[in-house]
Amino acid sequence: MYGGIQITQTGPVDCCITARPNCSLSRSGKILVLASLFLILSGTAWVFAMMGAWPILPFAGLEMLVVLLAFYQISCHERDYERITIVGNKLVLERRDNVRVMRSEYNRCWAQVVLQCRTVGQQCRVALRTHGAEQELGRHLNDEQRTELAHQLEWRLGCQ
Amino acid sequence: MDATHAHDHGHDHHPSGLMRWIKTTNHKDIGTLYLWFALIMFFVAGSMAMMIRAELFEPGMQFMHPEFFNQLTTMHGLIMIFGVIMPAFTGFANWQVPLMIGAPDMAFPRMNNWSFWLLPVAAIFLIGEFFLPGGAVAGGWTMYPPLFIQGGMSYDLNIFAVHIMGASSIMGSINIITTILNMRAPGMTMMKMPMFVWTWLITAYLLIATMPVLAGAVTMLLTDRHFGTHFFNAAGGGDPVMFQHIFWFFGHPEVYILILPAFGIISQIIPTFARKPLFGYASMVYATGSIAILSFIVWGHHMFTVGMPAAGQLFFMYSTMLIAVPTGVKVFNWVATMWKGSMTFETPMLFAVAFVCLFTMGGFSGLVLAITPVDIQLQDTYYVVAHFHYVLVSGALFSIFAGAYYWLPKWTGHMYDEKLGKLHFWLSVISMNILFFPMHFLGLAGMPRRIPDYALQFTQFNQIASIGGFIFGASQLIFLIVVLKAVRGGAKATDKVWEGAEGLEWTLPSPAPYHTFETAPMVK
Repeated sequence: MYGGIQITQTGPVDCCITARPNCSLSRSGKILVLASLFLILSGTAWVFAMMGAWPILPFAGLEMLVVLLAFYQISCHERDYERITIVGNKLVLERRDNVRVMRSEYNRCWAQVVLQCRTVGQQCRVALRTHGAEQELGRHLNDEQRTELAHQLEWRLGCQ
Repeated sequence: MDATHAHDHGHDHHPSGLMRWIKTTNHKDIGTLYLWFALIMFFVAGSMAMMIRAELFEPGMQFMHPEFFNQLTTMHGLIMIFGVIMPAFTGFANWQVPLMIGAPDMAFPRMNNWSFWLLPVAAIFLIGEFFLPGGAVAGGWTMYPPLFIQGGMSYDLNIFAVHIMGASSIMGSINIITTILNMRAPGMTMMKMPMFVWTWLITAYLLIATMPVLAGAVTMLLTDRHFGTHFFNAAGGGDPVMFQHIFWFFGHPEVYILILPAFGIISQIIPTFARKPLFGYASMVYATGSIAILSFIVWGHHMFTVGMPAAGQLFFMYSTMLIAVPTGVKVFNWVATMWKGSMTFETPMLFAVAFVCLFTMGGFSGLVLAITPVDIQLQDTYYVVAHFHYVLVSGALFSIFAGAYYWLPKWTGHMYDEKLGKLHFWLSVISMNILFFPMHFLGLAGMPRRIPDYALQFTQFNQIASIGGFIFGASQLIFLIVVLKAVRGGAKATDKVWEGAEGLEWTLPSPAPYHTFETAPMVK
């Protein structure tokens, strides 16, 4: 699943913008990798165990456990997202980090978008400035996508 | 509402001092640590080789007791494999894989730190064995029982060191697999990955598949030594030959663990200096996969003289010969890449060309040894020593030199001294052949390996080999000077460094900033 932004238009200005991290390994790819490793490891360990060399089994099991933990850790974060929902005068920022979901609500009219680039067109930072505080956005996006996010928010925010 | 645009020219801040290196989770720092560790251990194990060649300069005992000679040959093998070649390739992987796939770092940076810092501990244990009563292990790097069951305290320490190095390798491999599979930049499909990344992905698979076998084997040695089991102790009904099967089931894939990343490095360098894309990229990927799969079914060729049924001998002979097919595909593709290329011969390319020629020679002598009746004649002779040194020195080690010269400007931001680099190359390639080529003749004439003394008729070839060895050893100091000079200063390297270089790492400034690709680039 490649990261990026997905914009769903729900009204003339109202919309839902979702940003996700870049995960190049698909669910089926993950199953394939784990299954192949499990087959090789368990097959080898069982054959040697049948020959009497059973101490290979616990090491193979331990290693498989570590591999599983590593892939579990990856899976925990692949469903992370950052969602900005604009409905009427309300702006809702929702973030998922592993199992933690954080939600904050702002007034659309008072929010301001900040786009800062260290060098022109590179290492850009997007933030939402409201009530004297800044919330950084787009941590899953690249510079190009952050700039696009900033422009999308720019014309949807504020009250004329 | 207006979007605020601001430009702030921030600096690339990173920690400094000793704690930076101890606590670092940055892939470039850890890559650097691996590479320095490998270089230090190269000189440690190289010094042992110098002592071995000094002793073998003349027949009779010259400088040391036979026991100490055996300790040197064992430790030279163990340290060169686990302390030099493997860490050096892991160093390359740490530096290059995230840069090549457009990832900000490795998938598990803290685990990356642990997997490095386990290595110096293991190295201290290995070298520390020399200072224990009875000296270091002396039964050969293969750790065969019954010798390994009967030895002193150093054998326990050796088992512990192997366990630690295994744990380090497993953690490193899991990190590499998850990084390559899950952190590739958008657009970088599997078949767009650089060959170096492919070869490391397959190497990491091999490591994960074989390390539990090694861990189990050395644990059984330990329990045989101290806990009254008889896995390999014939006196108690155990089977020492089973250890050989188990060891070589790990050991032969290990050979490919030592050479597949070398194939990857060479596959990056040759297209750059031939100014042509790699010929037959897909076939290179499939050949690497085939070699990895075949590596699991050829272990018996290390044990032809142990005794096995004719059907077993035939199976292992033919399966071993089969490996020549995908390896041949690779050699053909490297040559085809160079064919009609606009070639220049900077130091990395010189080492790469030498790799292709000399590794092929090592491959051919491997084919000779694959033939069962021939192997029975040549088993444990210097022919075998010549064969694996052609594979591991002119193969693995030369590819490490090639890779170091190739990426050094990207790592340090300075061009290395090309004159010294070429001097290092020519001295190394000539002396390496003076050192190892006569060993073929010694082996064919029947000189056994792992002996400190020999019959008079072997003197001349041994003297030639020793002279070659001393020149080879001394010429490696030039490499150290080149590296230190490039680290300290020199001509500023450009971002792309080499005219024909392709890949994401060359889009970055030289030296590569401390943090790179914090957001994924788009690969078209």
